[in-house]
Amino acid sequence: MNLFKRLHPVTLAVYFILVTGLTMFVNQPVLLMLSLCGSFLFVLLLSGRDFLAYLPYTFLLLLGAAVINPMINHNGTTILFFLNQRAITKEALVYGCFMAVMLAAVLFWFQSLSHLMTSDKWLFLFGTLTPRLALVLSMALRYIPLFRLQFQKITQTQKAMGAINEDSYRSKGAGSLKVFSIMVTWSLENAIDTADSMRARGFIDHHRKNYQRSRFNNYRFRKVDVIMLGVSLILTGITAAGIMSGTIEFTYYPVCSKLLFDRNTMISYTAFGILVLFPAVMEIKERVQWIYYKSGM
Amino acid sequence: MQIMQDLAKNKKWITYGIFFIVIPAVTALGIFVFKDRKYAFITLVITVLSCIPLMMTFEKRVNNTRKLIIIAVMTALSVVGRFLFALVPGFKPVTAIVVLTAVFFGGEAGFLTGALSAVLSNFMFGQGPWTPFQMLAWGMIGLLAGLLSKRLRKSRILLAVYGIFAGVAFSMIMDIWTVVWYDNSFQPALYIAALISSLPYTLMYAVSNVVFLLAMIGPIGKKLERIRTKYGLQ
Repeated sequence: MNLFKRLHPVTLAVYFILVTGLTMFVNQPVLLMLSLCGSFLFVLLLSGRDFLAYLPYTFLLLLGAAVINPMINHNGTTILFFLNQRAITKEALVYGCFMAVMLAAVLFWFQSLSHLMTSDKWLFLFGTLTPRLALVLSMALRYIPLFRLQFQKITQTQKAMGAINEDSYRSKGAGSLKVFSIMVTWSLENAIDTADSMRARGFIDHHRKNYQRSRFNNYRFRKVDVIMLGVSLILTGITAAGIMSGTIEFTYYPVCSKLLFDRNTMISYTAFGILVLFPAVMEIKERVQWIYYKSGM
Repeated sequence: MQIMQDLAKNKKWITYGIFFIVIPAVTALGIFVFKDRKYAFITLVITVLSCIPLMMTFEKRVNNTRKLIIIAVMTALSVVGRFLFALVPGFKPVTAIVVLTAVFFGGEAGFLTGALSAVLSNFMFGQGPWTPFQMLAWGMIGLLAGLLSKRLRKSRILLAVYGIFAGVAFSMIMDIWTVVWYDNSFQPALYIAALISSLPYTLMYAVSNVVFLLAMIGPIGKKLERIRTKYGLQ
């Protein structure tokens, strides 16, 4: 069981907001590369083969993103070549590449997030803001498999009756529409029954004063959450201090500035590096531990 | 302390607070502290912040359990519809169902169905920073359809025009995010390039909206109308 899967949804959300926020926010090659490494390793460890299957498409998309910038943006001083009498500059190309790195990192972070933030955790977070909408959303989530099953039943019945066929695109479309229409009738009647039943059992549909509905969850805010929250906030603070004070400032135009690796910048790099590489390192540690335990058995 | 407790209880203050204090503050932060260079972050924060009060307000105004469950059903139908009509990629009935919900059950129901459909379908297709933008785009399409509901119910031509508008608007809103996310600023040239490159999708959205709206307003509209009058859901 992976550490991040056991974290409280709030901790998980805060960690991802900090990491993706910083990744979108900083425009600094070293930090972006660190974020890309961390997110790539983490999503690779979490989803493995599925992720690798999509990787070529993602790569093509990012290649496109990297190339667009020099085509449109003609800032910069180092001219590589001319295209339609417009200068293609090295700086714009470098900028495009790092934008692509940023997009990739954010994409990978969100892919790993979708493995960890299951729908129940989303509903828990959503429910603190709008409890009634969280209820609606959880009902809708349950309806999806129910409706798909119902859709199959209706389709089979209609086909058996000869009421719909798939001879042409037109009749296929008309058939789908008919099945959908039948499903709307069925599901709306179902909805009214559900609502009446809920009311009969004491569901209160008005916002009464001082009325607080309790809700079930089995997430506990444990010591590991406190530590995780504290450490990630401190590391973000150190990185943010580096950005705000301008020590790790990096400009692309008109000339790409040089990357500095002195003591001050190394502090920011290390803090951010620990922040983004931590999930992947923990995952690897737990896998190694598992192999070790298994070999001892 | 008593005042603070009252404020915490009264969600209206959160709504006003977000609209009149937090959003201007974030914008000012973006302009003065970050020197107008962190568009992506600021845009994302503002979109999330404007979704929250709208959802909280509408949640309050839908004070009928039946309507609440109907929103759940319409949200689920819009997602299942994506599988049902999966003939051509991009050809999906989500917008049409959001508009129909708004036309028959009001703008609030339309907004909530739109916003929740975005969240729900992204459980299957992947959540990302684009989720709040989809929520806002579909929500607004629903809200606007609710405001025009009387006219949209009467005229099919207007309904078709609204379908085209919704498709184009959705594409344009999402492209704002694409451009801002990519460049961390807003370059008109890049935005136009994004609009042109997404033209096939925009066209597909508009066509599918019109096709689904015109095909559904008859048979499915009749059913929604029946539920609306029978159970008094105005």
